[in-house]
Amino acid sequence: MLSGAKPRARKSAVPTRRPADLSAFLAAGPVVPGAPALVTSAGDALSYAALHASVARAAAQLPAAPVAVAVADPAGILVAALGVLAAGGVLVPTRDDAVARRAGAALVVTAAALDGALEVRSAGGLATPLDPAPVGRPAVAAPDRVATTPSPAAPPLALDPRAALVLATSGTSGAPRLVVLSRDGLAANIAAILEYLPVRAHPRTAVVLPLQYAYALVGQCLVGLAAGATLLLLGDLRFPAAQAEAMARLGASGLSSVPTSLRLLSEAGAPPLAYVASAGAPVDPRDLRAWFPGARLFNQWGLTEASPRVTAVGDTEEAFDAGSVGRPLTGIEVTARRTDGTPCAPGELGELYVRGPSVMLGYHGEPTTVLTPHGLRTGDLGRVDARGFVYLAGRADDVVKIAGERVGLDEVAAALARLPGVAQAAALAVPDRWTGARLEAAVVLAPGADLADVRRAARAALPAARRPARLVAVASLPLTSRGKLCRDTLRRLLEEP
Amino acid sequence: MTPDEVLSEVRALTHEFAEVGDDDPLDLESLEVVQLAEAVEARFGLVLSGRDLVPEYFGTIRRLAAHVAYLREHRR
Repeated sequence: MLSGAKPRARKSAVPTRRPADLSAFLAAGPVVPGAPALVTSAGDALSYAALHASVARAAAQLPAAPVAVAVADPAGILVAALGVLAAGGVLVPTRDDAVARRAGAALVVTAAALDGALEVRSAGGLATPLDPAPVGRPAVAAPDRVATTPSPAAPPLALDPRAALVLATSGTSGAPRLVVLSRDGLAANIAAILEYLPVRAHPRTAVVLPLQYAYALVGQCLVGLAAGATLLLLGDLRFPAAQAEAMARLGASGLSSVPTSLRLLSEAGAPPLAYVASAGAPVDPRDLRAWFPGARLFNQWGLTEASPRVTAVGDTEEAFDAGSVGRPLTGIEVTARRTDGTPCAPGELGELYVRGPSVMLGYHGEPTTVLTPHGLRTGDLGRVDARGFVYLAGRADDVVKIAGERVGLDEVAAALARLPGVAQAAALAVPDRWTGARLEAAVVLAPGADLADVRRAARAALPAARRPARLVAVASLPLTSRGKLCRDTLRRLLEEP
Repeated sequence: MTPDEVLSEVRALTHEFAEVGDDDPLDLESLEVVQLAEAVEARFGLVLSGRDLVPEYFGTIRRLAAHVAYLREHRR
C-alpha cells in the first residue's frame, strides 16, 4: 500500500500558503548522511527529503484549522500529522468523530500515503463538499474550500489560538477530556528530551506504541524527527515477538516504551540495544537491567497534560537504582505539596505539581481545575528529595493508570451503569504485573437482564483501556453505612472464584 | 480441570474482549492481547512470557486453550 516513490512537487492554481515552521519537529536532514526518516514494519523507507515533500503536499490539502487524523498505519499518521502542523492547523489524533467535532475539527484524514496524498472525509460522517482523493493520487480540494466546510453540529468552542495538538484522555467525568497542547510547549519538551535521550548518537529508534499516545507521538516520533533520527515504525505489529524480530531485522539501536511492552520485547528476543527508556507505569530498575543488559537505561515520568515528559534519570545515577523517576527536565519545576497547597519538605510525601512551558493550555470546553497557581496538579503522589529527584507513590485519587492511560474508576462505573440492563455498577483496580493495573467491575443486573448482553454493550461503549478485564454480576453492591461504595468488600467479593 | 473446562474458561475470558467462535480469528489490539494474557495468567495461576504471546497461541480461542492446557501440564 505504501510506496517509497519520490513525490513530485505539486503544481496547481492553488495559491501557495507559507508553511508553518516545522524545524522544532522535523530536522532538515538526517543526522547520519543518507539515513531515512521513516522505516515501516514492512521495510519501506522514506528519506528526509521525501518526507519534507510529502508533508508539504499533505499540508497543501489541509486547512489552517483543527483536523482529525484517523489514519491506521503509523507512517501515514506521521505524514498526516506533520501535514496538519505544516498547514498551521491543530492536530487531533482520534478515530472518534465525536472527539473530532468537540475539538472543532470538521475534517478527518482517514488515509495518508507516503507521498503525501490524503484521503479525507467530514467529521460528521456525511458526504463532504470535497472530492476525497484515493491514496496515491493528490486530493483536488483547494484549502479555501476546506475551510468553509460547514460543521454539521452546533459550532464548537474555538480552540486556544496557541493550540497545536489536542489529545483525548480519560478523566473522571463520562466523556474523554481534550488536552490542549501548544506549539511552543511541544517544541520546548522535544528540545528538553533531546538533552538527555541519546537519540542523535543512536538514531535508529524503534517505535512500538500506538501513535495516539503523547509518549509515542511527541516523546518518540517528533523527538526522533527533530533530531534527524530514523524511526522504525513497528506499532502496527500486534505481537511482541513480531516487534522484536523487526527490531533485529531493521537494526534498531534505541527503544522507548511502557514497562509491560519492554518486558515482553525482552522475553521475545529483542536485539541488544544502545539505550532503552521506560515511562508510563512504575518499573523496578532491577527488572530494566535484567531485561536489557548492556543498554543505557532511562526511567522517566510524564503525563499527557505536560506534553508529556516531566522528569528523567539515567542508570549512571544512584537515584535510578533507588527507584527515582528522575529530576525535572530543563525549564520544568516539580514540587510536592500538602493538601493545603503548602510545599512539602524534602522527602515528604505530597501531591506533585508541575510548572513549565510544556504544561497544557487546558482541557478544551471544560473548567481546568488542575491548572493552579502552583502549576499543573498531576494527581500523582510523590516525594522530591533534597537533590530534586522525584519518587512516585501512587495516585492521589481514584484514578488509575492502565498501561499508561489515566482511567477514572468512577468514570468506568458510570459508563457501565448507563448500559441497558445494568441497575448499579462499581469498578476497582487490581495490581497487574504487566499493565500496572487492571480493571474489574461488578454490576447489579436489572430484572430479566442478561450478563452476556451487558458485556457486549460494554465492549461497544468503552475503549479497551477503560473496559473492565473482568465483569461479574452481584446481587447487591457493598455499601458503607454512609451509602458509599466499600471497595475492600467489593474486592473480596470479586476474589471469590 | 479437564481440557473442556479449560476451553470453557478461556472462552469466557476471551469473550470479555471479543465474542467470537472458538476457531474464529481473534482480532485483538496489542493492548487487548496483553490484557487477555494477564487474565489468563490470573485465572490459571500461570506465568506467561513474551514468547507465549504469538499468533500460534493467541490466534483463536481453541489454540489459546490448548496452549494453556499445555502450560498447566508442563510449567506448574
